[in-house]
Amino acid sequence: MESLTSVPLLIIDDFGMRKLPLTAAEDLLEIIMRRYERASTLLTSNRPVDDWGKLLGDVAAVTAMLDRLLHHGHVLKCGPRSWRTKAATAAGGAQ
Amino acid sequence: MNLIELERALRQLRLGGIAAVLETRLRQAQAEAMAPIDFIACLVNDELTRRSERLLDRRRKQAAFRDPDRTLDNFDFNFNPKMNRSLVFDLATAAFIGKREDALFLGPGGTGKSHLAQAIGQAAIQRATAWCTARRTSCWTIWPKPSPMARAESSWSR
Repeated sequence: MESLTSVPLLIIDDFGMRKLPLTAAEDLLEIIMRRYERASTLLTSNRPVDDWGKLLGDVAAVTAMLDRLLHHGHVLKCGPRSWRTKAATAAGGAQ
Repeated sequence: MNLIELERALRQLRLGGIAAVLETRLRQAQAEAMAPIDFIACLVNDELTRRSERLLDRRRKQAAFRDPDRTLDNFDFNFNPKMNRSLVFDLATAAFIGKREDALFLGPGGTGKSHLAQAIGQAAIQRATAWCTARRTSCWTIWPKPSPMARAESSWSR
């Protein structure tokens, strides 16, 4: 927990891949709160932020987390084309 | 002190970078009739180079990227031309880390979010910023305990 709070850049990749248990939501919120304005967090997710409340099961906590992340946050929208489906289509086409 | 004793003493002084090149540099100094100051400068430079390489190695290892080969150089920006490239490169300067700002990469699977996140991590390491990465939020319980290194590095960064 100590290093998760203090490293200068924490990358949380593929947030929201699975539904998280409630304790995880609490831990994540705790980490984001402690890091807010102290250290940078880079989060990637394939779920729109509107769904995060459902994923973590605690809308209030997620709102608080998002407020912090977005306050000094840079949002990069990726897409819309996907590498993986392109590769799959190419492979399918070759057969 | 002969050469062997000298090398041992250098290692004792934690100057392994100099110890490793001493013999070669001595030969060079003789061949080129180097001025003493140039010779010493050369050795000090060797030590500095080796230290910064090791630091980079250590940070890369500590970061434990899932795909260490993912960098900005091999990201195809033309695949999704509408993506905000200048933001990506701004983030890669690691200035946002200095300002303690955050970043969110959103989009469907397979659009390069993880690639870019790791590329920016790599860039940040090169910008001499210590850090750590955590993969997959679902792996909550198996995250490693902070190593002495992680603590040392993070205290160094402040």
